[in-house]
Amino acid sequence: MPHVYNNADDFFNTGRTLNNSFNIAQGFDKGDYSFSLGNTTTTGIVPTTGMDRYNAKLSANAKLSENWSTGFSGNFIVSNIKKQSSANNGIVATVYPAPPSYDLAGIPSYYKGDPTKQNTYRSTSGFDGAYWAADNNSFSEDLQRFFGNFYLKYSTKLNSTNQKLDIKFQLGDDSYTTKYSDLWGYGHSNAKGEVSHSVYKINEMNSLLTAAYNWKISTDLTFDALIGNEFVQKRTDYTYAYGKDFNFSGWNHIDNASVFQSSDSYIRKRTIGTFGNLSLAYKSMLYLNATGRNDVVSSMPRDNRTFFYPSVSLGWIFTEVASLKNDFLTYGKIRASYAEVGQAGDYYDTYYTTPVYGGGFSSGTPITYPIGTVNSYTLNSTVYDPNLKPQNTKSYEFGADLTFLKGLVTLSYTYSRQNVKDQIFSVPLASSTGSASLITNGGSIHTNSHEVTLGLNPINKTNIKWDLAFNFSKIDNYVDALAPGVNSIFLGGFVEPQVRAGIGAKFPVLYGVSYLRNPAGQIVVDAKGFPQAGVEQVIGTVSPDFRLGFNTTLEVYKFRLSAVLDWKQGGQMYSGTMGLLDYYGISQNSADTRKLTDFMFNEPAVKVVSTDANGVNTYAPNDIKIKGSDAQAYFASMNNISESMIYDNSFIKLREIALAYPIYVKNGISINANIFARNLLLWSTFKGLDPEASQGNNNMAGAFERFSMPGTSSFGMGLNVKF
Amino acid sequence: MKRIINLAKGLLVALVISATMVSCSENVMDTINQDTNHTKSVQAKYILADVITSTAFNVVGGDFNTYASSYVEHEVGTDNQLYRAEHRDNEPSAASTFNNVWGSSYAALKNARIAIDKCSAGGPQDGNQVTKGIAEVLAAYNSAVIADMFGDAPYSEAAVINAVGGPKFMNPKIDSQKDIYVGVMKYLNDAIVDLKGTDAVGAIGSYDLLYGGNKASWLKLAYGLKARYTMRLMKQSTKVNADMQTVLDNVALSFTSANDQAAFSIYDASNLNPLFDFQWSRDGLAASKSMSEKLIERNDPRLRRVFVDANWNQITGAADKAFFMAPNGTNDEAKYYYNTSIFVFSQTAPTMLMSYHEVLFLKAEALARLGSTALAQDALKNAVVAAIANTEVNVKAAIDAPTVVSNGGLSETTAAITPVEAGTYFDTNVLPLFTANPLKEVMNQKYLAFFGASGESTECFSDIRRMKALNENFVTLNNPLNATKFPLRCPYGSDDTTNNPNVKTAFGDGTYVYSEKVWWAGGTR
Repeated sequence: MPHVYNNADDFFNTGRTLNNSFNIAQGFDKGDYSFSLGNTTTTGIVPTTGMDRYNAKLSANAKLSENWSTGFSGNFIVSNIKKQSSANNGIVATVYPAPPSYDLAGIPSYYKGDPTKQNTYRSTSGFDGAYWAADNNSFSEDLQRFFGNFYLKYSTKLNSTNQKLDIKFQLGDDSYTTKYSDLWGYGHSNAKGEVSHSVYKINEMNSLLTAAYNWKISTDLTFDALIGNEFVQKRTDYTYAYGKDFNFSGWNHIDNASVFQSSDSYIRKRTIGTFGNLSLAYKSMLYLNATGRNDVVSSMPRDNRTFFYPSVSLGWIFTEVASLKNDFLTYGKIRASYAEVGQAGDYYDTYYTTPVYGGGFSSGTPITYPIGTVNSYTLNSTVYDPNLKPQNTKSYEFGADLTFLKGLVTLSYTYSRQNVKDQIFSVPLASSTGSASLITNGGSIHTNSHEVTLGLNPINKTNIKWDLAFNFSKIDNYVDALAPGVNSIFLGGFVEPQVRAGIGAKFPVLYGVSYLRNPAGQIVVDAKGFPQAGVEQVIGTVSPDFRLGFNTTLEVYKFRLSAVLDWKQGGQMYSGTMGLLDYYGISQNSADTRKLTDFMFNEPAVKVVSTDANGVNTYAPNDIKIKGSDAQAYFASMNNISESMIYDNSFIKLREIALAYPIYVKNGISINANIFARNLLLWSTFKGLDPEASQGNNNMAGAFERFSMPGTSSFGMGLNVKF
Repeated sequence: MKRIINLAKGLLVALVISATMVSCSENVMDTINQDTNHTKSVQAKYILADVITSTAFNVVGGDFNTYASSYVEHEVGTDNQLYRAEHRDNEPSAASTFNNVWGSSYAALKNARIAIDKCSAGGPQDGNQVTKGIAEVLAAYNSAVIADMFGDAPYSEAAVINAVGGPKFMNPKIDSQKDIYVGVMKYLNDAIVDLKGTDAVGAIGSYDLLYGGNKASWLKLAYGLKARYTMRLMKQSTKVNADMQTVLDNVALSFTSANDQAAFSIYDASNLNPLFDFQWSRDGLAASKSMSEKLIERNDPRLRRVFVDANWNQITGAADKAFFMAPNGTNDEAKYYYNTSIFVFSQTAPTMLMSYHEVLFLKAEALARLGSTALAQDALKNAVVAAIANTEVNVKAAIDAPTVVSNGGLSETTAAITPVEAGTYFDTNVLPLFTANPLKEVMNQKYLAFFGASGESTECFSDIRRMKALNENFVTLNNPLNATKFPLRCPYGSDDTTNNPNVKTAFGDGTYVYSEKVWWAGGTR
């Protein structure tokens, strides 16, 4: 009787997080200070992964005289993160697909006597075995960071009783060094390993000078004005060293490499902003505010680096009007605003760079320059539009905030529309141009959003309090225009499938190989009853119809119980993992299918019955049965069609449930205890993986997944001591 | 009063700081944004070093060769993408399959064109005729590969940059293959003129990774390519005999020994032969049954040299008990199961942009087509001996492969084929077949010669299609799927099917690769 192993269960650990923090704060007549120390230690669900973080903070303020005050704050952080590989070369790529009959945890991950020679159920030319990888590969991120600022403030009442002027100068700096080390040990991909170290030294200096003026013109009218200047200079210093093909095993270190590459860069960026703000308040009822800001940025082409953006807003609390005051609608506000925001891109003159080999079928770096002593420089594959101009977002917003029955019910609604003009993005080029992407003003997009918040506070007694809140949002994005020659906006993904935005559909959409369809739009199966690959087109929509958040808090005596729920309705995602697990024959679906005598392609489809003299096919409904024994071939052909890996992913998730209780409150000492559980329950139309599992940047969040890490549930407790 | 002084002090501080910050002119900002990390201009030789490398590694020896080796049955695809290609499932008609090499070909063409411009009138290296000639040969080479593999394709508007280095045309139009070939021949004719000149400043020297700056060798390659492409266009020729004479005239000016051939030979323990790189990364190829049958039929000595079993022992011949070929198109999807060719281990075997034996085969073919049988026989014998010598170079590269050796190495079980043995093989085994049908055996021997680690399956794929167009089914292919699904070309790359409407329309659902011949094979597109 063959044993069945739960390889994924065996592989993943239970992650742990431990937080400790300590804080002292004290105030005096003429100032105050605060000092805190903290530490977080995390071990990840993948063996050898985790994080260690220490932080310290010191701040103080002093009043020097009636007019002058000063202060500073400084933070220091040291952190060390250990990771394992993800996505295409991901460590889980050999865990999920492991056959249940193979004891992944029990069978050694290497050959006896040769720890660099991998042993697993599949070839390791492309992927490292998961346990071998955990032992031999390492990925770390070391950070040291200081950030802090100093200020000097002059305050005066201008010899009046109703005016105030504050002039403040603040100088801040954020300086950090991060070292990323990626090590693939000797034996990785049946080769001799490789290692890279990237060190980023970043320093961002920020100087801010503001003058704020306040004038209470009368009891009903208040005027505020602010002018300011901001100067930001960022310097990024990057050093990279790479080595591959270790001379001998047992010493996975760059000094043991036989091929080397290195690089160095230093980039400066300066932004100078000048801004102002005027506001007028009438009673506690009418608020008018106007702002303007002019930015000059170094990172744009000459003569396109200055841009101005204003905003204006008006709010009216109409329940302050005497005739409208009532006990039912106790607070009511309507508001409207218009704002522009300018944003710069990063522009460089087109440059030459040393070509890099790898990717495609190569599991390593097959060619490395210099070849002998010969180096090469070719035009960089990303090119920059010399007419790049700042992008501009204009947004309009209207809304109302209402409170009924003195807080028993609160309701607020906001509609907003954002028009982005000259959006800067990296346009993927037809590679027949000889280049890969162009940084340009690619097009215009707009966003419509509706947001409704409803709060209820049904019980508000001394010892029992209960409130609940709902948050509904519907956010739709559309592309209005694309620059000449631009056909879509690439947001992420592979060569195929991709997450992208194009004219004519709510974005983001999933784009890739579809099922072959006839002119009537019906899926056409082949003679075996298998679906076939068709043209590349939109194969899924990512945008949900809406999202609804819910949270509630119940306080009974000193116990405080809270819960957070999220509901996402509509939207689809691409799940490469699910498709591949069917293809590899590991999924429950593939097991069930194999056991069937026969089955059919699971979507409505047609088959070709005949072809007329003009070569036009006639079709009949698909009735071709596929034998269970042909399941492998069936899943193989499904695996070629990205549309088969598009899943609806509506879900409801219980994000957090927490309980807090003050254990001890006496003599200025308080001790609070809390326990929480996160991501406990999930109802989802997408079975098998976390519907929020995804990879890549934020553009792809929730839309795209392939061998991503599993979602996690977590449990925790905390103790908070204050004195 | 004191208050006012204080206030004045504060304002003064503010003003001074403001003043220093506002004084940032466009010039200062330009200085800050200056990119000191990259060069914005290089001499042509630094560009050409990679045009040569990429043409060899990516274009000739890379994915075209890997897939073509399955189509022409030099190898059998036995895992994942190559298995599906072998079984004509998805890969041969999918835009993603050749996308990388589609991009590499156009990048190489673009870079070659940049180098030509640099060395032309108005360019910074005007007068560098030899460097320009080299760039022209490489532009011709990549243009021809694009036309051969993809048929009608972006050309005149493709791989052209504007004054600031960006694409001059965002969505290049498609040109006919015929027009692309007009361009190929023009590049070669220009190269032949330029390569007779000299370099003024920044001569290419060691940056020429093919010939070390030897212009005579480049000239021979230019003539060899003219012979190759003249032969290629035979189906569309109205003057076949004159063209065969043109082939012979160009061959006469081309390589005279293996020392002349266009062998990209920089590979070592860390810079990898592309076929080796593919197999070491993916293990997707197994030994071809139809290939073994052709060797068995000829009692060919190469049979004992060119296959290894899953335990890395060289197969001594068909009688070896580990002899286990993958049946073309009907194999199982299984790694480490069938024998493989020895060439997938040839880590350091050079990639041939054009080999000496190819030139000799072109000569033999032209002579055979002109009916000069005796001369054709001599040419064929030289070709076969040269081909077997190259086979042995590739076998040795496998036996000595540094990475393979460090993993235990292959067991060599048989002796190398000497030139004498190769000659004897020709006289006893090849000659009777040649006598029976000269052209047929020329083409079969050329087909066998292209089996190896030299990246010559790419050229073989064009030969097979050319012969099919001429109804000369000399080379027997056994994949039963060829009845309906022999790939007649490679599908366009998905970077263009997704970003260039001209190519998207031409691509459709990709099944045209099975129905539409390329122009020089008698097709219309």
